[in-house]
Amino acid sequence: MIESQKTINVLVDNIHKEKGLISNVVKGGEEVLAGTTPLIFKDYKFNYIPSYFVKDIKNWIYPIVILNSTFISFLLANSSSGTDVLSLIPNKVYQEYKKNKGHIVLVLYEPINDEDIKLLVKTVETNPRYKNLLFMTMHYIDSPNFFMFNITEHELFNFEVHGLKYNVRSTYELFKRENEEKSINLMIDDIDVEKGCIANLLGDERHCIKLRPIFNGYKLNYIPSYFADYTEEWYYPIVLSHLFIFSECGNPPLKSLIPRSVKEGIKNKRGKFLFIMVEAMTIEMIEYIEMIILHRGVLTREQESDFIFVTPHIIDHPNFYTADLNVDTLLYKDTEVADQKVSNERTRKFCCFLSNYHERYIRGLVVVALEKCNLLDQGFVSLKDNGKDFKNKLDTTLLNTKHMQTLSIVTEQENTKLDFTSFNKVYSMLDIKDTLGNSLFNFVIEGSYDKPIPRVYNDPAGEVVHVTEKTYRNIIYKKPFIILGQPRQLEFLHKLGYKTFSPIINESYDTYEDSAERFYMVMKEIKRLCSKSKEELIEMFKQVDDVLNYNYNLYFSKQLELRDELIRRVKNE
Amino acid sequence: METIKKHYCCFNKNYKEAAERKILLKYLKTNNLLNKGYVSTGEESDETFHELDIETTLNKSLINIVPEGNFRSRDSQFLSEKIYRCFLFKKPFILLSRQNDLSYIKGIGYKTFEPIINEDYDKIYDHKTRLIEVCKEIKRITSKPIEEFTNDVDKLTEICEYNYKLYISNREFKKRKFYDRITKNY
Repeated sequence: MIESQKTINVLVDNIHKEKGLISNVVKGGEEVLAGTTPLIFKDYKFNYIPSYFVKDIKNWIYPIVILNSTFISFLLANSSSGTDVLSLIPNKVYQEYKKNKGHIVLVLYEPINDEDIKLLVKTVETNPRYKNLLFMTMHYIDSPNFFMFNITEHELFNFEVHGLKYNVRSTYELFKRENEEKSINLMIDDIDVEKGCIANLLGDERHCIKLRPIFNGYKLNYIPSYFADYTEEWYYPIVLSHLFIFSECGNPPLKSLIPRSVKEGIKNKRGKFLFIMVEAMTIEMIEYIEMIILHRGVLTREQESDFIFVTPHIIDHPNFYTADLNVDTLLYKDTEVADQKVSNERTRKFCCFLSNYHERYIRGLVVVALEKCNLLDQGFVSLKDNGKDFKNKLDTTLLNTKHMQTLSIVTEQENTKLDFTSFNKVYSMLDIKDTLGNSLFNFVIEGSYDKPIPRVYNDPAGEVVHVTEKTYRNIIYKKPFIILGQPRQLEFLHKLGYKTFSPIINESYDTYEDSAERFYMVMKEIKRLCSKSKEELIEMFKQVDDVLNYNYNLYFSKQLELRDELIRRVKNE
Repeated sequence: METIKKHYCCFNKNYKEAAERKILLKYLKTNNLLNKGYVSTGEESDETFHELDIETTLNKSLINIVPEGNFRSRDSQFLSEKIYRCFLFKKPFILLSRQNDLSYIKGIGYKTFEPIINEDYDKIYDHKTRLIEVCKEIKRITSKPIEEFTNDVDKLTEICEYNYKLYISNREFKKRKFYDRITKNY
């Protein structure tokens, strides 16, 4: 019975995705680590746990296999200067060792001479630093930290290493048993002892932050992917900003980059790939996925089901899910820099987060339009460094004459220049929650503006339309909004089930394909709304309270729906 | 591999590593004793095997001749897998090993095989003399007809059972002790 089985938690610094257990601290000894010790304790359960998780584990051992004991005495000889064996282990492990949370076990694979034995015993018995340092040796040594074992147990049977993968267990069962809460298993190729989980396949380094909200309410079990074929019901997450690995490799990376155990695990229906696209994809990327992964004839229907995609887009395929992938930290905060609070100021009609205005010319156009139309006082607008180097910093690569002409029409000034001087009317950074709370509506400048790519695909929007956290955050904070971004972004939201604010807000801007015309229509509506008094706007927006509440509830119910769907898929239900 | 029972087996694949193993092999050869046992030498010949499967070989042999490492060492004694293997597979053995290794084995509770096997060799300080005595004992027992030697070895069954049980119970005890230490810190 597994429940009554004794468990030994073994910390390993590096569980390589292909090679498996790599010996701690010293080179070599993998056979002893993965073969001999489990063989000695063959009726015990071994949990091999990345030592990064040492704080989460109780009663662990951190084994160090010493294959050559010629200089064994040196391992403890320099304790006073802190250059003994304990100084070689990862700091995280050492800190927990000092708190008596686990034991370091030196497995001495060779016999040692009498002098070394005496020295070791004396040192260990007299130095409190070594209180939890245990030895597994071939010798019978009458001292509480020394245990005589047949270290060569695996050689009892044949001369080759006997069962390298014998009795291997992972964090999977450990977490499953110790935590009653629901959990999801995620296979990770590299769990670094200091940095933790490294993103699979050179993915987004913030992959853990991206994964957390998707599985909100579930505990995430990060498991070394070496154990993929020993573990059930898992995802191999690939969190990417761009699908560069697809386009830069001659061969599909699934063959060359995915660890063998993951491939086997997927083949054996133990888990699935979970592609998470953080940023919007281009048409080429989507078509590439379609060709490589979903094209009939390349993969069978059954194989297809092993690939799950979560993207910002609506893609009409059972393996594609649409989700807001920008997690709480991004959703709630504009930047990591200290933000200015506006809660003590009087409510303004709108807010517009443009800290990174310099990245896109459209943001610059908006800023100039707001300045020239004297609207800056009516809203909270953020520009990095208060827009002091506006002219030099703004990227105007895609700016054309038509946009400048439109700007002039919006500002009702001839030949409006792309310049900004009202530094004292804007904020360098704004606290998002605070600012939204003090504004009547949000003027959202979305990420994509100039790249509405026409395409022929099942995407009902007809383009790779998407919205980002810039829009989603309004749903969380129940704030009406106007979006200046891709055409038909409101339509996109409608397709996802959200409602918007017509006729209270004139949303005809959403249908204009031409970016300059869309800019004009949006600014026209901003000007119209700002021409009203705050009291009038408050009254107007009361009429969309139901919409705001509906959207808020829908956002969270969709989040749960996606989570449950992904859980269902991984369980092959 | 042949299926008939032989007097002994000797896993001596790495005989080149140590002088006493080379001498042992040479002794077995010059005294025509190789055909009385299963001997691995890393080289296939009419009388020797390149490599032998341990379990099968032990089951087809009456005793195990164990060329231990550290033949000349005077340091602390220990048991290697070569001896544990004999306990696990319930096999009597002759040790080509350090002085007093048998005494050490007895000291930690196991039994050995006197008088069926003459174990005087264990007390001999001089390495060369000890080696010669081991060889002589091998020659003595292998000179017996297989039936007679089988009867002799049968008399050691009880000892082998005892050693096996002790090995298993010791291992379980040590495992529990180690486990208690790492989980309860006592």
